[in-house]
Amino acid sequence: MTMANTVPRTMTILYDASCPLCRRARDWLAGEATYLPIELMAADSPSAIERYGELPWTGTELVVVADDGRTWIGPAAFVVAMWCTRRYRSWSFVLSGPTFAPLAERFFRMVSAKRGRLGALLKDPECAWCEIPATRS
Amino acid sequence: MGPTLFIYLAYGAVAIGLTVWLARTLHNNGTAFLADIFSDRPELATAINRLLVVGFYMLNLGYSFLLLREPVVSSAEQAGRLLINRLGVLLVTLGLIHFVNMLVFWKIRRRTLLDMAPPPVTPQVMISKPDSEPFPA
Repeated sequence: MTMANTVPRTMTILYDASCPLCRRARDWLAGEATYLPIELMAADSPSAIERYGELPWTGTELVVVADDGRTWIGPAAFVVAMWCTRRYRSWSFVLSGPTFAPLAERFFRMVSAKRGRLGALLKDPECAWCEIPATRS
Repeated sequence: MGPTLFIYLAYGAVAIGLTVWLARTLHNNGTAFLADIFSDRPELATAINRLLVVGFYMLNLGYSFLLLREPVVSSAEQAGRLLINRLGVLLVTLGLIHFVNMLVFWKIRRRTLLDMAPPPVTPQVMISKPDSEPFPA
């Protein structure tokens, strides 16, 4: 592939807006300094569907799309999202290197598959009824 | 010639000789290195290299002169011992400074490589370029 070694100009990150963990990760990523402009989009939002059509992985896997059409899905998308940030770019190379790639891939798969349950452990800033304790008074 | 004068002359000769030799080595090998980092601006590479060498001279010569203060010696044996001792301290210090210098070079290079690095993993798929341009003005 000719453009495999070029640096994209912009990145679009399609995340699952129905999961609290993903929304948290989105807020974190939005606050990070990045090397290139990134756009965070809910995978099922009308604007995402209008721009990319119905991608078969959206909503189930993290998807990162470069401005030239290169697309990363699942664990690779996590690594590329790290690559966008100034603080963790060096880590993206460590985690995609021969030593840690298998471990990182399993970790990201696990996080992605269990994101519902992991998210339940965290406080959801957008959940109005989560604060109400489920105990009898 | 008293032992003290002998120490001054011998020490001065070795210190200046060593510093000059190290500075030239640093300058010669740094040229290729800095030219690689600042490949777009060769004049900047030359300037930085010269400034580094000037700093190296000041630091080394100043420190080596400070090392030899008021040697109180009465015999040739004492003089020899003092000379060897001072030269040892000088060499160890120069070695340390040299490694710090190399570390700085290495960090600059690593930083530059990281800034220009393409994404670490190959994309899984190519999707057609989106119709609507991301980040409309």
